[in-house]
Amino acid sequence: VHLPASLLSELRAIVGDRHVITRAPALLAYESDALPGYRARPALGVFPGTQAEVIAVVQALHRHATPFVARGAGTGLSGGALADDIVLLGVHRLKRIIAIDPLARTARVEPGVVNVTLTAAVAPHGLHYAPDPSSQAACTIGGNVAENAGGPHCLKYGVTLNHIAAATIVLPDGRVTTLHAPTTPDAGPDLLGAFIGSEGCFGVALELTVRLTPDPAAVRTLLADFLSLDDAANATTAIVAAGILPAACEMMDRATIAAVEASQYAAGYPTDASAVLLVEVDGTDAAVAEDADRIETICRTHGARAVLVAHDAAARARLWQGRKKAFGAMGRIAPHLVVQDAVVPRSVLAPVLAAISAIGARHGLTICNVFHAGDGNLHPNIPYDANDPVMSAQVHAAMQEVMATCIAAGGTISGEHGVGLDKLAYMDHLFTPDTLDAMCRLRSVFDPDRRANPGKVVPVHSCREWLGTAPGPRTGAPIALPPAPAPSASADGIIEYRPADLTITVSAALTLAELDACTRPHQQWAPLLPWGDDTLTVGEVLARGLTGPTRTSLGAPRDLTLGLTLRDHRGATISAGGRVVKNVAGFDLTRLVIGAGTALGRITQASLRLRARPQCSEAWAIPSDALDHAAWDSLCRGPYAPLAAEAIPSDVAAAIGLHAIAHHLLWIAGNAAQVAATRPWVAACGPAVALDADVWTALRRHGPFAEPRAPELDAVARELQARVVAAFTAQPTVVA
Amino acid sequence: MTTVPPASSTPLGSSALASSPLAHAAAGLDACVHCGFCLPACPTYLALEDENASPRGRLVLMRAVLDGRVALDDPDVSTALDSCLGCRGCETACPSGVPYGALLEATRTTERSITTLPWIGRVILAVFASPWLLRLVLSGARVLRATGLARLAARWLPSRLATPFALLASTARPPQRSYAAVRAAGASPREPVALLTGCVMEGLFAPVNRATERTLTVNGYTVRPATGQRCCGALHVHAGDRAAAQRLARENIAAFEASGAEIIAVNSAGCGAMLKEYGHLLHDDPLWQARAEALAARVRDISELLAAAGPIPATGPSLRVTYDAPCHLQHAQRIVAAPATLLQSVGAATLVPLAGSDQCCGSAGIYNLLQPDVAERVLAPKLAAIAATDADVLATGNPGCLMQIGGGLLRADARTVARHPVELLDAAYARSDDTDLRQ
Repeated sequence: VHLPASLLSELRAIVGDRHVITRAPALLAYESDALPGYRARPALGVFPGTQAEVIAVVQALHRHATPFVARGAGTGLSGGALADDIVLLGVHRLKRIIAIDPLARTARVEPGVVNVTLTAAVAPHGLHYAPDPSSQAACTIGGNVAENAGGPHCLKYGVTLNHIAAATIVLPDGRVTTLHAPTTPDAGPDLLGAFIGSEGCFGVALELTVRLTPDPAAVRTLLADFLSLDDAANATTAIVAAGILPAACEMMDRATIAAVEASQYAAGYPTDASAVLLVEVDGTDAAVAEDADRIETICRTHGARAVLVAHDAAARARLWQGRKKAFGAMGRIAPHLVVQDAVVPRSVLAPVLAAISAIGARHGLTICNVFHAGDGNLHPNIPYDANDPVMSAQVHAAMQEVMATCIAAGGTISGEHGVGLDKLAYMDHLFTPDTLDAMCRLRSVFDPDRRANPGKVVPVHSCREWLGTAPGPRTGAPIALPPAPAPSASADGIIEYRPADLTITVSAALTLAELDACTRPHQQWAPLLPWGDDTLTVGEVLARGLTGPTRTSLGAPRDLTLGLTLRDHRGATISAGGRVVKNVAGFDLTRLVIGAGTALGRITQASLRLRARPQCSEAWAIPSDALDHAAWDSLCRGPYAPLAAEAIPSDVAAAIGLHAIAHHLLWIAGNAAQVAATRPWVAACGPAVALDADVWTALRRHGPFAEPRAPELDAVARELQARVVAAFTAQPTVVA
Repeated sequence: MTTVPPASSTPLGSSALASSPLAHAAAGLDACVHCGFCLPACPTYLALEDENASPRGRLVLMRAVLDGRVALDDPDVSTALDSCLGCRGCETACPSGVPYGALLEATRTTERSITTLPWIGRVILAVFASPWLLRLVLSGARVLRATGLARLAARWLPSRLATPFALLASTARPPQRSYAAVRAAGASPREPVALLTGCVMEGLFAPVNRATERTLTVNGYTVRPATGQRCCGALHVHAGDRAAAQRLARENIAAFEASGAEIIAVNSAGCGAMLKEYGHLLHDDPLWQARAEALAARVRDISELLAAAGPIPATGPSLRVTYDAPCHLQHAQRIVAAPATLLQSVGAATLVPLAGSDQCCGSAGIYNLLQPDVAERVLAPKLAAIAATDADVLATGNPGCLMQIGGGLLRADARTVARHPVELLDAAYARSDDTDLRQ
């Protein structure tokens, strides 16, 4: 692309000569991210050092109608931050941690802050930043937001989406706006939810408000080794199905173990094992001890040869180090490495791993598996020599087959790495033309000119207003797909329920009571629990973004919804998200729709993440005039934090059978040891009366008792919301 | 994808390139998976904020040179390579085991076949390669230091000019009570040891060499002289002058062999790392390779030796001490715990941790003289971290680091002074009643 000379001088004036790179040799270092199989030379690199400079640079690019790609540390694994003869805008110099608020448990950071630097900075407050991608020593928070990064500990703590409270961004047209995570019902299209994971296509982050997580009081890490991959996979399913939610559950196969043990990060994994499981539980001392014992038993029942428990921090760090550096350690095996990312339902891990192994054997390749087993998030990696054209072709073919296998198994093409360039060819196989078209429309709201990271995420031919109504020819080699299993549809609104995966897909018309009746026999629940009664339908709860007393402990609808089907006002059926617990394939239409009411269309189906119902659950009431507020605060903020805590007025107290005076109510839950250990903390708060735990169902009909304040949206955010609505109502203008 | 045309012209023809040291080391490039873990471990990347000043970026350029995509003498390539401190902090961070130090050395050696060092670098290397010139220059420096002129110049000259004077002034030591070192009663007799006295160590840090000899003696080692020893050659290797380094190595091997010592003790981390790599340096010399390897196997850092001996504890003055790991100790020799063991044996000293102690201070041989601006940027966070410890003494076991940090502290008018760990142990021994040690 030809860059006007005036743009160059403007950029130099903004950031200084030293931070504009134009000479080809100096741009070589910026040709790749951490998937160097993809390489593209930027036309120039510009590296602003302040938020004001980023804004000025984006405005200059807008004035000159120049496309650009934002980049963090270049540790991505999808070729997403490659600028092919356009401008590369690096934000790695914006590395200020602006403020840490230990009481509110938030921090304001710039996008170039390295993930692990943030955790180190907040460690003195007993806090950490929970999303911990394996590249956390190098990757930036800005890049994490662009990719909606996960990591081993997102099994329990959630992905980046669940930990960002607000983002100030500069849109590709140079306007600045702040997007907030919704805190109230009917907040309108969730722009922040859509921005997170948009892979740099919706603008550039300037400042992020991240949520911080208290360090757990106790942690246990177990290493179980197995003589068969199947056994390890089945043990994973059994652990989660037993109602235990580990902080992390990682698997490594024999080839990966060999690479790690040969590196300087050798962790003492048994090299003769077929697979090892690294399972971590955290929480209170009592809960952790009980969970660790049960996990050990389950692993042994499923054929574990040995189970090693790391009790101290040093032993734990050593076990983790091998896992975190496994990807780099594979560099020892062969000159090049393909790192893959896909998600399948946890319950089919064993057959899918067997299929992947067979695919490798058929192509004469070694496939190393190191992955987040608890999430079903696979990382099949193939070490190879890219200079060998025959081998490269085999790798390419094998990867296509692996992807097809995962899609056929009900999974998705990316759990945390993003689509970028690498997964572009698979988008057609995963999403319908209508859904891809909806993604294009969303992109146009943020970036009508398609100047931000053009050519990534959604194949261009699927954008109808650009290329006519019919989908164009598919790029890349076609993939032969095995037939998808027919959904086990039933008349009662349950479309697919997979207890072993803790996922359910239901009709939007299903009521919460019906949903509860379905999951209760399996000791599971969908903890939506909004204020109101259980005649609310799933569709209403999602459309309005309704939350209840467990919002902070168990999450809001935006945290619990895996995917949904929307019938939009144009009559298109959009299938957003998927049915697996991690999914970053394409733009996040699911988040966009939740809380948007009926403005974008009508939700017809939803896939939800389930949780094991707590083994023990107790409700306690304390008269408010006898409450020890300090004890209450330390209970609610500490390691024994309840599921829910509310102050209720006298009339509500009377309505649920208490004395007609104001009360403070608690809902404590967990395994038996955890609940027993919590009781003294409750007693410390005042004279507590035990109630039936079902009192919370009754109480939900009377709330909310203190509505959180809605963040105020600026004019730009309001305009974006209006344009989202228009994009889902107006008819497309077809350009021939 | 963009296809990049091969570099139009390179003075290094493709056949010369194919037989260059870089080409021989190329297998090491294949280990890099581009993960970027080296970025936050690289002091110049953190200071300059450009991937061309990072290990990953430099490896990309090395590969591009080999593939003919860019010329080795392209100014962008030279700038990227010259900006490297050679601290090898990236090797510790690298999960794939990329032999970065070896690759850098091979690239610089290849580079020297077509380009020359800047004049100041050539002058410095020539001085270190010539015993009499070196003696002359170091005597002159000692005079400058003794007159107090160096200290004045460090304080009053503008930043860039002040740097060399600050480095020199920081090597001054107040007179110290001497004592007759004998083997302590608690120490078992140990192997005979020869000390690499070094160039800068003996020229500017002679008291540290004497302290090293005394602490070795107290801990049961017999110190033997090794006459005829020379500069270790590290500066020459790092600058790409391999031939000069090989000449120096051969002389040193002969000198230490003749000393009859079983162990070669080194109190300069950079020189120790070089001696330990003599086998690699002379790998293509059939006459010397075996001797080089045998010698390298007998080299120990002073902290290794003293930590192995116990060491004999003694009570020094009550001080807050913080420790900065020399890159060539931590990353090149992978010695992490021994210096702490040594410092802990100095009673009454409180050891406080230093944030970022694994990061280079910017000294890097003669780097701070060749690239004073970058060296100063790299040093800045180190000085801030030292100030945060409120320590009386910053301990570090390498002359370059002692001067770089010491000079920085001097110019910042900090109350902290930079000292070698053996100086603290020696001071403690000197304070102890002689009879304490004999019993």
